[in-house]
Amino acid sequence: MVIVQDSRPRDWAYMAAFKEKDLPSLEEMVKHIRETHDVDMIESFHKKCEQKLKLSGQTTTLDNGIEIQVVEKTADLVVNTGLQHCINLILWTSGAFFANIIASRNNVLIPPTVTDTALNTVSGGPYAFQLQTSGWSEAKGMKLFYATLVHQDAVTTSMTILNEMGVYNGPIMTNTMLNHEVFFNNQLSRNITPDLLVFANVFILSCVVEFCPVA
Amino acid sequence: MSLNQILEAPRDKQTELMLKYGPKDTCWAANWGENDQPLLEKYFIKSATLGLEDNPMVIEFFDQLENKWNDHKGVLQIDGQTFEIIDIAKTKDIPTVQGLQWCCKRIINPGLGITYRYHGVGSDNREPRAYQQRLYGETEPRADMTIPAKGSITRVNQSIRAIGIFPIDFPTITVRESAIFTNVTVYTGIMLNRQVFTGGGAGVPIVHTVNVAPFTVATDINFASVTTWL
Repeated sequence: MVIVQDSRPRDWAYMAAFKEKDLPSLEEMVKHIRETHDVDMIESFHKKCEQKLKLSGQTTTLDNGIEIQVVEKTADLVVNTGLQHCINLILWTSGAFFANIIASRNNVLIPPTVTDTALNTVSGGPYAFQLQTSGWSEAKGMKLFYATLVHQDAVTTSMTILNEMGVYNGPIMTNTMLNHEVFFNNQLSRNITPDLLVFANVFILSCVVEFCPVA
Repeated sequence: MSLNQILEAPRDKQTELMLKYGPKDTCWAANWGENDQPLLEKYFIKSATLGLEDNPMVIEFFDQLENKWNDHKGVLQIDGQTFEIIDIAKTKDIPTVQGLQWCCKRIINPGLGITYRYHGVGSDNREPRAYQQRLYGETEPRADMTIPAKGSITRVNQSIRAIGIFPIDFPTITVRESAIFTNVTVYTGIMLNRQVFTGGGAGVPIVHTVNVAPFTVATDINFASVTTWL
């Protein structure tokens, strides 16, 4: 028997869906976190996501009263180039911090590997979201938090489903990827409203990189 | 202390977690020959011209440390001259909570200012713990690894590789502990890790005598180590 222990940082992500009418409140929450570095609010958001995952039939609301419609979670990995770039940032040999989340839609289950630095875009994407305007990037203790809001604008119908995401240090996939998450068997989908021609749901894509758990 | 007592010595939960899940921290302390200081300096001045990522001279330096640790010769070459490791000790210890927290802050905001650049050594042998923030018997001065003649701090794959050169005139010391810091002054700054050379499996700690020969302390902190048991 061969046992392999890979002690790279742990990495997981949530994809949470909310009603389209909640977008202004969600934008306010994201802006508040970004401007005040309120990492407790991020942790509370993750706690509510976990609660919703465990009790999927029950109503779960965030601290600001917004109801989470549905949430999914995946635990994937930090890629090698991402870790290398982390060290470059620590040693200040680079100043290009992780500033974007890129998401895509794939139709084939391909579990990511540590050298897999491009999202699969067979069915749509890549869609880049800038964290400085639509999300957050924060550190607490030995954890990194990155997230973005995915708006309701139906730019393309392929954004009905997003099932891959990664944090990058720029808006295109040739930039350096930190982590690669795949929601394949548990992807969320949303519909376009017939009257307003926008998606009926907005998503929050949120991920956590943890260098060491806290006792 | 008996082997059983050592194995059963209580560790705090955070140190256990750091050992199990945190980055892997390995350190080599090496004594060099009495005429080797100019060669060591020349080696790292040349190394500094080869960049801060995957630097082949840094890789070679660590390879030679490991060679010496494995009872082979540890020999380096610069400008046609060779020089050799005399004594070596190796240990595997841990990053600190504060050290990793500072790493996370820098990943989010690299413009924070100070970063890790000093290697310190000391003579205290109390066991390393994840919450420690200082060396307990530190001897000044710390080596500034950003000055090529005093060491090197670079990235090799998913590791931070830091080397401090401690010159001939460094005070006499038995090197039992070492760490990487953000500040130059003893007992200040954020300590990234703490390594202790306790003897036994970690090898006999090296002894440095002032005005005899230089020594180096080299640290590898691997953020993605892979261990395979067959």
